[in-house]
Amino acid sequence: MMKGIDTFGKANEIEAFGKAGIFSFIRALNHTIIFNKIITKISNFKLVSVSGLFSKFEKIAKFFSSFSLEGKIGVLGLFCIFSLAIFAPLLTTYPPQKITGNSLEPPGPEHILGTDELGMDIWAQICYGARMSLTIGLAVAFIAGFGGGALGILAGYKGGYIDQGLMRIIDIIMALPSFPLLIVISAFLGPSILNVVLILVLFSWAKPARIARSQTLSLKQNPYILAAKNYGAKPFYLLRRHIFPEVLPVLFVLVIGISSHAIIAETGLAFLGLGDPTSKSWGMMLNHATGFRSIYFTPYWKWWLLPPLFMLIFLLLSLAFISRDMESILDPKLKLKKGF
Amino acid sequence: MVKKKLIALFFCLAALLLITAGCIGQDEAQAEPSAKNISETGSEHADVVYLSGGDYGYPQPFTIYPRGPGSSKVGMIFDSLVERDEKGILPWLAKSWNVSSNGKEYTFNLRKGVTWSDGVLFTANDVKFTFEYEQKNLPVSGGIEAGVVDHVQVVDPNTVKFVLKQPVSTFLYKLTGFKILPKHIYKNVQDPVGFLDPKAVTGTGPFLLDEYNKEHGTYRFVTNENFWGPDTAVKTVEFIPVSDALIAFEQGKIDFTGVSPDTLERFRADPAIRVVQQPAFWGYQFYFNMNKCPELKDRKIRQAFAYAIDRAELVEKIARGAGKPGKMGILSEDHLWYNPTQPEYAYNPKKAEALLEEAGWLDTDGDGIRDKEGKKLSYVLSLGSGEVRIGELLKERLKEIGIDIQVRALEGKSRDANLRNGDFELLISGFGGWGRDADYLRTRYCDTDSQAGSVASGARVFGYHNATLNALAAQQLQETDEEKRKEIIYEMQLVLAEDVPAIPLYYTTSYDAWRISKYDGWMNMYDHHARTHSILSYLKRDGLAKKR
Repeated sequence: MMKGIDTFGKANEIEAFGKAGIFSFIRALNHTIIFNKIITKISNFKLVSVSGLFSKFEKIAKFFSSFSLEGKIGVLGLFCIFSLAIFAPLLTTYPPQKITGNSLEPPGPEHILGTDELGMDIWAQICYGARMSLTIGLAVAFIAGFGGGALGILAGYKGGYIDQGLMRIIDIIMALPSFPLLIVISAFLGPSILNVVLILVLFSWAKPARIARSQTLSLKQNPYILAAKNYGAKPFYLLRRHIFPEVLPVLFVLVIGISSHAIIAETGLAFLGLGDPTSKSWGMMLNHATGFRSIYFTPYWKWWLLPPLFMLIFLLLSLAFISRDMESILDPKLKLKKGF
Repeated sequence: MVKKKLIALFFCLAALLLITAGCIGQDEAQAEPSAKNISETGSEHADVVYLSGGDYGYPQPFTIYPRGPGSSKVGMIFDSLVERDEKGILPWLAKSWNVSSNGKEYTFNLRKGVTWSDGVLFTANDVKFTFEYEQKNLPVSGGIEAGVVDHVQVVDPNTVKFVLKQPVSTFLYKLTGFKILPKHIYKNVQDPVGFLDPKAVTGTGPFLLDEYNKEHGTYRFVTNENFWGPDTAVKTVEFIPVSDALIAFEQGKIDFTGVSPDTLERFRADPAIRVVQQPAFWGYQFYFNMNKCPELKDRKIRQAFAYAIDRAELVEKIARGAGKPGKMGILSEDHLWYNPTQPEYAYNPKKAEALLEEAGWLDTDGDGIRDKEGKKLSYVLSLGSGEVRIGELLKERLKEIGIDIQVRALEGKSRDANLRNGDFELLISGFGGWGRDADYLRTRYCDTDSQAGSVASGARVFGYHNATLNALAAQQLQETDEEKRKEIIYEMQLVLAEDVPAIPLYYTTSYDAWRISKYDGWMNMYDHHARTHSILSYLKRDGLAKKR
């Protein structure tokens, strides 16, 4: 409690210096503290579940500790960006699409990261842009990763014509040059977030499908699965109980890879002007900033071009770290289980 | 080891972020321009001048692209009967001319001994041929409107007479864009659009096309040694591709560039570089499609748009101060015949809301968008991908008065096509030519005539009709007395400003910069914004091209 009061006092001090922006940031942090407290209070009510929750938490902590240092940085980074996206309305004082300041204000107390040429707050655009990048990245990754994975498992388990047909389709999709086609299709369909997601899904489900299929093919031959089958287990039960959990870790690694690919692709499309032109994504910010005439001859690139660029690098680096670690953690486990 | 490197990389990036964040607010140390001895007068001739290139089509009148500086490249090779300088029209291929008292016959005395670049003599037959050829094959720009000229008569090899159907005040002006074609070459060409032979660029003009590369967007023009007129001051003009004009200019790759207002100080301080502001003859227009959205036929709604759009803010934010807010009388302040007494339409959302309420548009369901009889004031605004920021700003301003806008960014060419075909609700397009003879008020806003093939569309396409305006336009076209015509144009501006058929958002007044030690002969035609587009910019200013 004392600590809370302390931060409040400091915040008042800072406010006295006229740094309202930082104050709002700290206030927002306090919001999250309160939020967390509420959550713990709610969970206290269900006394029964607490021990379960605790053990689960312990499990997660154990899992987390098996990460390498850069993996931990990655998880922390991703956590930061996620909280940026989720608590965007609390972390910002201005909506991202409103004109709230003068044109190209440098960073200052009114606008923490300054404004763009229309007078829109850049910090707000960064926060809401995180939503856009994460939404598109996650949506594409989950639809393509698990959808494609499910298709692959089905094909691997069923075999026969379905398998053959699916494999040929995958061959074709994998052979297509994805980014040029991406540009052509999105130019043709017109800019909208849904279109971008659909196109990206179309080009990224093939890899998880193929890997899930090969995993299923090798798992299918395991004696315990054959035994379960002989005891009368139905295909759906087998898939759900035995095969899917085994394939899941590999899919997870792929999902992370796809999500970073999707984020890059979305940014690339936006940068080329093929995204939704009025959306506030990091790619669009980069597009507008680089589209500003001779921005490198002016000081504006420092607060207009760099923040989205760094956020993007930060997010992609975090994802790359995590996927690297996931691979090394999950792979030996997988091998161990297969060795049964 | 790899692990360590990765961590190091991560921290390096984080450190870089902090370092650059620290930079903000500090003034950049301005590099002092090195003291050089440069004469204030500047160079009056140059062997080669490099300009920023880009593909604008093969430089003959039928194959250039409608958008961009294609026609100025045609003008380097082909001559017209009359040319434009800083003050007005001057004799060019025509030495002198007489106009009959009824204003219907123009007799031109052509220059003697002018040859085409292949050595064939230029005669009155070429002029007659060009007129007749272009009636069948429309040139991209500079064609004479159909129905103006009755016939062309060759009096003798050096005299040609244009007989008009009725007096047309702008006829001589229109001839400045009428480039004469060689009869002995084009008479055999059935399809000039596909005529990409080197022979197609045989002209009487001061330059020859030495090289054209469509893929790279390069042109090289060299001096035509047999040119009849003043000597060229620039022996070779070369258009080369550059990714960023300003960087190329700093590196000395090009000798002339546009300068964005934010980088102005950098060049102003340097006495070796001349920086001059262009007149406001290039502008963005906001179109209403009254064919598709009949409710926009109500003048009050269009006026509400005009009051709600903060045009001064557009100039300040999008043009970065290098522009002038649009005038509802269409003509820009810099135009010779701009009427200063027209209504202002300064930014006033209260007035806009009052106008909408007067017209019966209220927000009945509380969603922030005004509606009337089930129809909402919600529109799709089509624009080119370079105009997205204008769209964003308009969206914000129009939301304030309860008009909903969805911005649809298109590739420039498809936006132009949509404008030509009337396939839009609201649209923004930017184009030049706002400094031309005020007769364009007729071709753009009267539905009696429609200008085809241009980037600015006629009123018929967007469904605007105003009988008063049509009558005034017809009247000014036939009025040969300058003063009286000016009065009619003034009145037309008042009618347009009252009616708001379209909103000129703003006119750009960009800055040009060039090194005076390299070449300093750049000039502006009295009706045009770009210095590099005028043929006189490349010629010695003596003889008939003497500075007036």
